[in-house]
Amino acid sequence: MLRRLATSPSVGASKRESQSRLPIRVWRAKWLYVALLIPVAMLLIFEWLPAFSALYNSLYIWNGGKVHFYVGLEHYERMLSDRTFRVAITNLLGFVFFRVIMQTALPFFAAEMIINLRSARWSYWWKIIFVFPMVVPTILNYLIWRFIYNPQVGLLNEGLKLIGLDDYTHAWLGDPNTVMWALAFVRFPWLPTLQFLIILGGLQTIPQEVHESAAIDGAGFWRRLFYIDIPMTKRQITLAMILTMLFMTQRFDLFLVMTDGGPGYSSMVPALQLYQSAFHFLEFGYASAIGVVLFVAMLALTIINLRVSAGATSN
Amino acid sequence: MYRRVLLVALFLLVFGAIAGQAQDEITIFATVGGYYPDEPTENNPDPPKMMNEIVAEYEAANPGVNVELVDVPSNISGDQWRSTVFNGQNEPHIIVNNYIRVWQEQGNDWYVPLNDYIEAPNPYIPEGTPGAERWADSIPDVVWNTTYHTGSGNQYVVTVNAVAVGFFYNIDMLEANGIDTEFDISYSLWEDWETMIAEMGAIAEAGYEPLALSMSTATPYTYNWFDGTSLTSMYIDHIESWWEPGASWHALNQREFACAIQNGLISAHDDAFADWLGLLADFEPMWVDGYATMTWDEAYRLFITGETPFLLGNAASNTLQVNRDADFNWSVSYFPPVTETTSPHAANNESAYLVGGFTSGFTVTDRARREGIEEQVVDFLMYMTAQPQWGRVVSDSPRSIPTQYGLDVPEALSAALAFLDLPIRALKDPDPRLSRRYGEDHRRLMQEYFTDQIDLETLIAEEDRLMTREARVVIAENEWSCDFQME
Amino acid sequence: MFKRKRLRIANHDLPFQMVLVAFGIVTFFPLVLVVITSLKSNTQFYHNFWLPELPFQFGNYSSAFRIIWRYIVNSVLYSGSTICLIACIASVAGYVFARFHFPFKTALFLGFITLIMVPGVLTLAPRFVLVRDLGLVNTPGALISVWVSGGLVLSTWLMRSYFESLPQELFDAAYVDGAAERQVFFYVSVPLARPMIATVAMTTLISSWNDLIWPLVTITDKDKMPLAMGLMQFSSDFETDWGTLFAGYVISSIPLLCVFAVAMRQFISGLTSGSIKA
Repeated sequence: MLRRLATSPSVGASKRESQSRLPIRVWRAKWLYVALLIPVAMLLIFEWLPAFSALYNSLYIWNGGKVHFYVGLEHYERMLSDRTFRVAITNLLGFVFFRVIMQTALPFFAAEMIINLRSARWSYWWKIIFVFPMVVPTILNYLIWRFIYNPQVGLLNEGLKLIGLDDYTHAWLGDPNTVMWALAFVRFPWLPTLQFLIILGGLQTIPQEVHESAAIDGAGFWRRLFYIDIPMTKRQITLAMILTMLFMTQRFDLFLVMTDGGPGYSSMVPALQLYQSAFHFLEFGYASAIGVVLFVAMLALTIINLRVSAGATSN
Repeated sequence: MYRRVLLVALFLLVFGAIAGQAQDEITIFATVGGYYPDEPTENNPDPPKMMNEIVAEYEAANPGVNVELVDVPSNISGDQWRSTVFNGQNEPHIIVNNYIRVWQEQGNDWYVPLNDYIEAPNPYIPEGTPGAERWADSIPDVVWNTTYHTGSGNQYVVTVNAVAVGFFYNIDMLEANGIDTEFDISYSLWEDWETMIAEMGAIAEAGYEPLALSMSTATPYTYNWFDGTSLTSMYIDHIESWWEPGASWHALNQREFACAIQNGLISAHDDAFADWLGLLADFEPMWVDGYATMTWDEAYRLFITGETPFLLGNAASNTLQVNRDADFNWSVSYFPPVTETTSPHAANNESAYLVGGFTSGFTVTDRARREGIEEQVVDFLMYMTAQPQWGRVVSDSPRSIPTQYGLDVPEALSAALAFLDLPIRALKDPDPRLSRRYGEDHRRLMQEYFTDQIDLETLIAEEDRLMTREARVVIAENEWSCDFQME
Repeated sequence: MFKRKRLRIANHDLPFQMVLVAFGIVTFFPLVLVVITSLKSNTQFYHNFWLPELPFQFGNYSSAFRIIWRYIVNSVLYSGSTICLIACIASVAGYVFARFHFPFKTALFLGFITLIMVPGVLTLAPRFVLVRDLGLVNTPGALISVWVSGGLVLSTWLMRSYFESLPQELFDAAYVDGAAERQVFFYVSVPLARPMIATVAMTTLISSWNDLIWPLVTITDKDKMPLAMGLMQFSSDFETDWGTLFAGYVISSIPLLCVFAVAMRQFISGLTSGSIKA
């Protein structure tokens, strides 16, 4: 019974299936729904329900306790004139743009180095070496990077002094002109595991013959890179970019631990403002509205990104 | 065979359920802040432990009552923890609380008003000691007056600690640079604000960063402390008109300050206000690089390693740390007064003001009421905070100065004693002065000004907008009238 | 029996190797720093940030271990059950999404995948109320249920992509032999999906192992706390015990390293199979 629903073209049932009426098709697939019952129920209860309650709360003034009354779209209007939110969005755009490029280009670059190795053993070990840092908790990395940026004894300033660039030392996190750059470079040149392995996977699946025939045609490293490797891993690169964009937009612990959004508002981002509205000012309604806007923005960016990359592929 | 096993198991289950019901035990969950008994480690061989003994004694004296101490992280996760457990009605019965937070959450009925309890005797306070006949008498009125909630007139917080703040200074380092380390006045190295800036300037000339402090809310931040004291000095001639009628010198409550703004008695456009901003701006070059995002630990490190001669810290809790870590001679000084040499507005000012450090105390939460064990929870709170018990807690781990009458300040904290006689500052930290949002935004605006992102004009305009808005919000939320102040 | 192969660098590889070595050193520097700091007392750390300093404070490790070992046991149990549940549920769900056409499939799958975009801080309070109403507060169930449902989002997607990439001929062969769908799943698909199951297990392990805020609000009983909460005790309002804290972090990553050592090959081949793409 189920086999007719399978994707297999050899079964050849899909065409007939799609012509049947909906209730019949649902009935035929009943065991599939049963199989999905547990995960769907869990996601509905533990993920969607809380998410919808946030959507609901964004229409209310709510202090996390008893004060709870309807205000309609007031929070969304307030966001339009909120200076902090405006600054936060500007900061975020720059930050995400930079991180997306960094967290795609670096893994791509490292992966390219690795597939160019002729020694299979070495390339295996390099993969392990670059995946290894994932066992370190994120919060620990932030603590270390605070040490690196420390204005008085930080590694960065000490290094600059060592090579005679005393004039370039900075309170990297305490100066509004450098703080966003400092934050953008946190964990440099770490390769985000998921993105790195996905891109590496893409590069590895390029057939050997393609590279060989390119070599016979006299294509050097750079030509191969731009005419074969990048176009053939387009879908992996798009995915890495989307994932980075989604993760970085929701990041608030980085900002909270490193700068608390300061000095002034110079490293404020929406996710941190959301956190502060909720947990410092007890404005859960406003916080929820920020969350909803972030969600919609992420969804839109993801769809645009997919469309653009699909369009580019079909050409 | 296994039917019998099943029967036995069933029997045990039923019996266990009945036995569990019959015992009728009470469990009190409590957070105790810095006095939480951690386990000793190599670097911290002697953590506070007295709380464990007190809990054990209480449990022994009250069969059927369990007390569980709950450890809560200080900042980042702490805020999320609070909101979530309160919202989910799973909060501990007793919780260490900053009174500003209690005010902020007032509409929720999350805390039990303690008015009636503090009027009654505390049976655990020995005969003849203040508090035995009326619990409130064990703690000075100035403390109660600081923490009570103006909107409801309720007292929610029992404050047992006073925080004394000050400048720790490195005697060896100052002397090596030819700077006099004798007190000019009874509580301070300097006779006035100008002298302080001049001397710190001399240190800066000698190639050091003078003062380590932190101005980031992600950690306990210390900048706040002279924000309120210096503002008090600048408005010294006017503050009296902001009081509720008949009051004597005190730390203004939220209502008085909000109404002063509402009635136009203080405004960011005042000359005194501009002078105050100037006073802070003149001081700012003395602060270490990166103070805006510095953590307390980083500021502390600078002082301990002899990189900076001054550290703005908590003269009570940090004394222990400095005592253990410093390999130089050091002492603690208070802020100098702001006088006419600094600003004409401070001409009639005679003194520096005490940073009224009654910030955290114990509250009893609504959970005690819901579970019907309010009496028992308050009883434990009475036991814990009565002088015989609290005295042991404080001498075991001298981290704060006890507020109760009849308790000596621990030997280790004697340096801070001289400051406690100063009059309390009329204007508190930015957060309790008006609202938490004001405190946060004010700090960010000041940082923007200090780092030249905005000029003085913009700062004043933004401060004005912020103050009027927050005053309006606070007054509306509490439905206060501001008629008591004349314009 | 084992023949040791030497890792020799061929001439062709040299420039690539040099770039990779530079990358590797900078990447690993923070890890080295954690170990260096874990061997210092606070005073040593304050006076000398970067270099190792004698005497090494091995006592930090014994203090940290004495305090956190029982939390490690808890964490192993919690994360272990979470991984098993996720592996089972996600492979079934991924298989169904990958292999069958049925009404509302796209809508259901979008219901999974869009959850990646819901900010976690936002749902903390409502989720807690829910878990409380289910009577799960202060039980392992509170952690496991939420970690499983949170982990399902990414895991189902990974499993689906992997199953979709398996060649159709494998299934056809099984069908021709007269295998039922259930048998195809257990005897053909699951064994083939071992690398991706390892991937799912590894990502779940890491995220549950390091989660602090959710256990913090749901677990009040000291005996039930997971590791991330146990590490809290080394920093307080007043000061941070840097050496012991970092020693605690090193100890707490040892179980992860063990799993890493065992599952590494599968984990890497799962994610690099080329099946994961936009």
